[in-house]
Amino acid sequence: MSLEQLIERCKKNDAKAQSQIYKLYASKLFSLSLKYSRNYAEAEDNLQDAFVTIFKKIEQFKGKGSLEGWMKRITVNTALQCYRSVGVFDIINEDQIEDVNIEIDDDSISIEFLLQLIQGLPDRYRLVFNLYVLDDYSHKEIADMLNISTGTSKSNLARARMILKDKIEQHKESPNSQIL
Amino acid sequence: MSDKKHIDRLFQEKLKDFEVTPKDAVWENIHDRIHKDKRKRRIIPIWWQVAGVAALLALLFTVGSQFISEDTGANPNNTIVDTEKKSSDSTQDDEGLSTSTNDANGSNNNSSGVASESIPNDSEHTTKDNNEASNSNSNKNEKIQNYLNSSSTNKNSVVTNAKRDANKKNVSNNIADRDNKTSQKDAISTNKNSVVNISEVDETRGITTDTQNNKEQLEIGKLIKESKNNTNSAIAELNKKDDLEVDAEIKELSIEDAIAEANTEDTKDEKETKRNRWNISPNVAPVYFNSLGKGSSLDDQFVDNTKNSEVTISYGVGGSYAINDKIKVRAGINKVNMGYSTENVIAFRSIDPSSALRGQMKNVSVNSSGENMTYMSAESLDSNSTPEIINSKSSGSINQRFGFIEVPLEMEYALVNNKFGLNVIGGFSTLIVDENEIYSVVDGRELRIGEANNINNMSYSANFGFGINYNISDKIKVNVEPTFKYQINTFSDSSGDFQPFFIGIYTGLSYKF
Repeated sequence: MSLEQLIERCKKNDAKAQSQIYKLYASKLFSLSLKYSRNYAEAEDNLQDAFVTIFKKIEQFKGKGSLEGWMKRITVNTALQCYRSVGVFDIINEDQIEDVNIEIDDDSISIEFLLQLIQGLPDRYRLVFNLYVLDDYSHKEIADMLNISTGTSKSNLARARMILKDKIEQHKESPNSQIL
Repeated sequence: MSDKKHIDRLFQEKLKDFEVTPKDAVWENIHDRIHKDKRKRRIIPIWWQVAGVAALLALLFTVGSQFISEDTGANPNNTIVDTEKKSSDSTQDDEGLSTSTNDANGSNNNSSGVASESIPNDSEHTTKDNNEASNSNSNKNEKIQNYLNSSSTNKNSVVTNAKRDANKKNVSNNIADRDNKTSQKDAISTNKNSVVNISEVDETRGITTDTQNNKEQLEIGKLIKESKNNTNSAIAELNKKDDLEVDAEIKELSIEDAIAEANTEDTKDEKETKRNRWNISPNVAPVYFNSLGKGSSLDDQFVDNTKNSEVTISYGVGGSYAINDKIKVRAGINKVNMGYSTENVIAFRSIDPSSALRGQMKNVSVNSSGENMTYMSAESLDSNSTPEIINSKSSGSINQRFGFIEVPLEMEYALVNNKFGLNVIGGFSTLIVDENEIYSVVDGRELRIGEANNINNMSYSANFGFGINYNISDKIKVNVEPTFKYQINTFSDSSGDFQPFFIGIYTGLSYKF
């Protein structure tokens, strides 16, 4: 069955088609959820919420752009909404720091470790880092989404990079030690 | 030496193909959550089906009864009215009969100037009539038979009419056969006529008491035969056998003929006396919409905001059928618009239209003019921690407007039923969405920003109201009906405790027919 047919059937609330769509995209969207969440459990919750929204609103998907892109946006938005309600974005006043070129040795760093690093970042640094570095949003877009200024977005990103670099270097010195 | 990389590239490359399969339980939860909605939806079609069947029955009843009443005109009440009329008629006949019989019995003492003249004339006249009509008689007889079979009530009244006709003919008849003016003849024809009259009276009685067609027919036949025989014997004495035999036979036909003629008139009479059970009433109402609980149909953040209803309009037409004096069943169709505004909302314009994340309001599908806007509840902001640029913004409102085609199905119970009426109304409506718009109002400027995506295409309301009416005439009433309608299943997803309802003061005229 083609993707279009699956989408049409999902619009009719067909459970089989929904299950197939889920199987096709669950792992991609779960990895996305993992990056935006603090931990595994939160990522699971986020994935659930995102899929429920996706199936409820799939009628609004008119085929402009890819289904995957549309689903990813919903997943990210679901994650952001979660933080929006707990007031993460209220931190407004902080010193802006200059972005510096941070380089790092690329050897024997596992994906799991990188994920742990991202999840360990303070909420807003994590969101900004994910949005900018991993999901190609501009500072302007991030500023709009998080209701912050572009300057704050840039500053948050720089801080996130600093924290990550420190953690990686720390890990290299004592690879067996736990992060944090 | 390992190659140095920018930290961004490290993360990008490493996480590029990063995929983790979630646990099966995640899908089960999702499935359950979508399924829960499904279960909800399954109840609705049953309700809808019941409503549909009820509406269809009401419609069939309306249309059907119109036809039925034309066919038979049969209505228990009407029968009673007719019987009364008939019996009074028959008494009149009896009177007429007794005088003529007396005349005859008085052995032509008076020589019954009027009676003796008119009676033979009558028989001749009918002969003439029947000769004229004889061509079509066979057809008519068929019709009459059918008719007799179909309705006893009509026959009863028709017989009365036939008699009336006969009387009329007696009076108006001016074709006199002067040759037949011998007293003997007079007496005999008087006898003949009285026999016929008696048979008519008997017919009436028989019919009044008997309700079965066949019996009546038999009796009528018997009586007519009797009268024929009597007449025949009398005629034999006078050696006018042939002519009068024909007369008597024709007489039989003439009654039925008259029946056929009278049919149309009679059904009309019956209709007039029928009670008016049907009512049609166009109405118009100001409508006030709000929620019983604190909630929002737009988004979580607006739960605590002040909501103000717009006063909108509903208009339509309804019909009702009176089951009895107290209870009416009503149905109709109305157009209803509703609207309310969520106050204290701050709007921002985002400069970059490609901003991929939309939907600050989870239940709103924004259009092109709304997609760059971000809406926030001013009440959720803490003025100490928000930047000055936000605090200095003047707050506006979001207006949601929606319209439905409403199909109410209600019962009305009359508490008072005089010139002033008071009744209670209960029932439910099916609401079909036909309008759905959301506007933002900032600095007095109204901008359409999209539509709600959480309004179900079909929803319901439970209705309760009071009706006050005043009879202007027998046919026309003025109604005022303040009605409360609690909406069910209007929104598929709402925030807080959003329980929408609307109140309409339905005002209109109703016309009985």
